Amino acid sequence: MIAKDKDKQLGRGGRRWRAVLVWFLAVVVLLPFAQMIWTAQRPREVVDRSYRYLSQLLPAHEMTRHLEIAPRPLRVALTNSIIVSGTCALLCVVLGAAAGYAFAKKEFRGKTALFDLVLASMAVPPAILMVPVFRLTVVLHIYDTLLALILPFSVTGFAIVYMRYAISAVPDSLIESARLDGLSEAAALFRVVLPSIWPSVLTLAVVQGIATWNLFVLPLAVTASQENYTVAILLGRLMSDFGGLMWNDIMVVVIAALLPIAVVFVVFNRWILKGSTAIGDEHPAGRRP
Amino acid sequence: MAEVTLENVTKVYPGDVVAISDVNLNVADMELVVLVGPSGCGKSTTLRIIAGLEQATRGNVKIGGHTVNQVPPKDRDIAMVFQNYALYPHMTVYKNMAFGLKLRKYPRQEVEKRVSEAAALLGIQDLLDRKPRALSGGQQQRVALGRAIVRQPAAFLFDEPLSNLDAKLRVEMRAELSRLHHRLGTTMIYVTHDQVEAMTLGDRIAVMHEGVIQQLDTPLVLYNRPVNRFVAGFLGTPPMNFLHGRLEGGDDKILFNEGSARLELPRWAKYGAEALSGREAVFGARPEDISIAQGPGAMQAKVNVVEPLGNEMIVHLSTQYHDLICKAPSDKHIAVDNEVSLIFDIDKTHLFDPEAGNNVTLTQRRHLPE
Repeated sequence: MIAKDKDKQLGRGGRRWRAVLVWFLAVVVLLPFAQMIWTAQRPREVVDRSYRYLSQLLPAHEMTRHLEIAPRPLRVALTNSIIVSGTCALLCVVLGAAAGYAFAKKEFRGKTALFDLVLASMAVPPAILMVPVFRLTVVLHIYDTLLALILPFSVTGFAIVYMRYAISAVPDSLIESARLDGLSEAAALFRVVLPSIWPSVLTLAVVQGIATWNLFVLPLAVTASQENYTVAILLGRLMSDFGGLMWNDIMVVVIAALLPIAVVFVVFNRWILKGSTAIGDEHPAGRRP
Repeated sequence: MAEVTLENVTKVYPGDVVAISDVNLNVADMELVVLVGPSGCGKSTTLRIIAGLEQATRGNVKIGGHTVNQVPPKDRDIAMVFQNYALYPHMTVYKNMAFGLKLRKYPRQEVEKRVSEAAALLGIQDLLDRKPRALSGGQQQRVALGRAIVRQPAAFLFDEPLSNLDAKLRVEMRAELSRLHHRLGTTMIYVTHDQVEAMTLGDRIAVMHEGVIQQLDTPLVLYNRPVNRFVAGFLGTPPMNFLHGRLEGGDDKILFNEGSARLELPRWAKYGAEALSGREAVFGARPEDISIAQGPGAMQAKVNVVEPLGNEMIVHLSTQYHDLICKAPSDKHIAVDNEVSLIFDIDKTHLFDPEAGNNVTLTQRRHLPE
């Protein structure tokens, strides 16, 4: 409505300029993606030549070393990323829901203080935890395994806070109804409460999955062998360890890193929007009087 | 089918908040008992204790003769209908109704049979494939009822089930609930704050106030023989008028002195005078027991507001000391600001103790209608 009103205010000339501006911004945003796809498709020599031309404008790079990026490391890294992100997303929902349920619906000693602690944990940048997490993985004998990539992110402050507010909107009577119907409290949470707020649950899963997918510093600290690289680590290694910058290989990996996220967004877009605006709305089962 | 009994049930919340205190209630098999009272009176807590959703601090809950204090809600053989219906939003109507049965591992044919029977009973056969959000409030209410009915429980518990419906639908569903009760013949306990619902639905009504059952009896006994001022004032719209004054006179004649007028009371008032022994008295008269007369009457009053309802009028009046409400036939000509005289149907009035609030002459008046 507001957008339409503005349309009228702008007048024809204004609308044309706005269209130009929107297209310009779209090109600016999409240009790196176009470059990425172009680079990934071209043979090395062409890429090198054009990048060398570019590099005369930018600080010069030596592009001497060669590395054929075999499809295998990429396939392994992709599989690892999917396993790690998928598991983390699932665990964040399950553990976040359990903790969020307790904060939303239960009274216990120290609840406020504990919740403040959870809130505070959201302010800690993951990179700060690099050393302690590294030490922990060594102590637990999971250094350089996929478990080391999953465990530190199996639940986050954000997941708990998010689920608390999502579950707060669920009327108590819905849970009581489920209990009278014969479910245990935990079963009521997972079979009635979570399905009743599934857009929020899906949103949390996607947000956590993508956040884990994009993690770089902390996973770098707890993995050593190529077997356990995620796509993000592989990309990082390509850009540093091997010295030279194989732009076309790098762009292949970049595409591999981006594509699943893009697919997830396109597929779940509608529900994510619903889930991210649903909090604070009235629950479909109605308010508790 | 079962009777439900509460024995000295007390619930104290943390911080020493007494929600209900020493509640004794015996709901006979197939009976519909309504718990009614203002919000915070403990009626919902009582129901939730019967359901097992809350634990009593003291006392016993018996369903079908068995003490169920330690029995979890799902094993108490009760079904509950909530004010906001509490339908599972992600399930269709059919699944909502079948869920409890499936969890109890009923065979599929049995589940289907019960759901379709209940759906037919409630007229919701066409809605079985819909999700709750696609239903109107009244339809959701029916589904919530259906979900309770399919379980064929020993007792139904209703927690203000009609409060979220609009006025017209509420009247319809009230009649439907009454019909269902006759049809199913199951024990029902019904919580409401609406005294009209209580009067129309209940075989018996328990009027609750401040965590205590004030009176438990049939609707008409509650209406005609209220044990105290709270019950008298809670049932009936507009509520009973209470006038503060003093009892005067001797053995032959008892008068109630309102301040601006004296009302002559019948013989039973003598017991009131004895009980109150010179203290102030509260005189209670229902709006329909006061009529407006043209000539001289027992009391003079000024007309403040006239509310025509079509079938009758509600007239707000004031004497020098009190405000009163009375009902008058709709064809009567009553003008605002006029002085009128009032005539009391004195045998239907009551005398209350101003401090304790009890109806001081009730035990002496067997002739009061029941």
